[in-house]
Amino acid sequence: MPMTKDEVFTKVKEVLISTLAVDDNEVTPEASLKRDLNAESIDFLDITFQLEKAFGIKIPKGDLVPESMFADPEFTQNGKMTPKGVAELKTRMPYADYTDFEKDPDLQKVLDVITVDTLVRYVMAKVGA
Amino acid sequence: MRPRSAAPLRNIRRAFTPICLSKSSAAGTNIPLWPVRSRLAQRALKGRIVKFILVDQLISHEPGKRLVMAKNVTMAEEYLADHFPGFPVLPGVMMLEAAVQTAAWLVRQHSNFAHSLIVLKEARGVKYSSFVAPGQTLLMAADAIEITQTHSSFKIKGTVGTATAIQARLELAHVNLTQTDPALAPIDQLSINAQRERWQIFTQRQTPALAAPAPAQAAAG
Repeated sequence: MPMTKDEVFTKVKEVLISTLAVDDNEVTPEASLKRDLNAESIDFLDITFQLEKAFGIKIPKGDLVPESMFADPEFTQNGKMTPKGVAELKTRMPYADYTDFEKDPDLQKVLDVITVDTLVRYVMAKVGA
Repeated sequence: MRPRSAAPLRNIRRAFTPICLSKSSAAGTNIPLWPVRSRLAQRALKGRIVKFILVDQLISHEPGKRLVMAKNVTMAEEYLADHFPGFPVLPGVMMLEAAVQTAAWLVRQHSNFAHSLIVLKEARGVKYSSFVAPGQTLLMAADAIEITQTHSSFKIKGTVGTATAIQARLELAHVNLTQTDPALAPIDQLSINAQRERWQIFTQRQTPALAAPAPAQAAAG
């Protein structure tokens, strides 16, 4: 039986509480993993592994952290993502909201777009929910 | 650092023990009781092959209260190759390690090098704000909240220029190997001697000309 969104959210929340040592009430759908829950690169690695274990899915390298784009001059220049880079991001991770990022596409803020809801929707697409 | 995506993260973190514990591993002192009798471990304790030295310079020191040290990021640091390919920046855990090492030096000075191991017990309210790239200097300020014989707590703040890179509250544990095995006293002394030598290097090169950041603010947590 396919998982409901609430079921996926509950499991994603458990993963985030465990990996980021945050409180239950901090993990809201709108919370940004980096900006609000203070995740950093090693946490994204941990989260990736824990989500794979929790849901029995495979998360390819680069799906959550688009590191291969950082060195591509088509996508990044002078510490900012180009319009082409933003378009590519939207293709690779269509479940994030890029409204604020597009106003100031600073590479330091690229991970801010990954929210709890982004993860939930990504996992749902993976498990076919 | 070359993380393996299929490996449990705790194995990666264990590779850093006792240098760094994740912020999700609260409480408990993760003391490395690997084969410290081995020649490899002894060389490591003498500082000859330890690679993760995350502070380069002593900037300012108020004994028992505040220590500011500098970490100069260079292209030669191996973990930058993966973090990230084509866009090297200091990993957040390395900023945290720089903070732990800065606080540990303050403890060592305060306690007259009474302990061979000063390790991270808990990190709270860790907040990362800015990247630190090769060629930049991370100034790390550790403000002591409390220092006892066995534990200490700090507010830390790392800055790059005028930008904040990291803030956190840290709790450290101070131990000697003799607490678990009196026969390890020579290893404790080896480590303490190496630490004294390194502190001597830091104080010889203290650079007062570099401006120290403002006292660390209380971090949420």
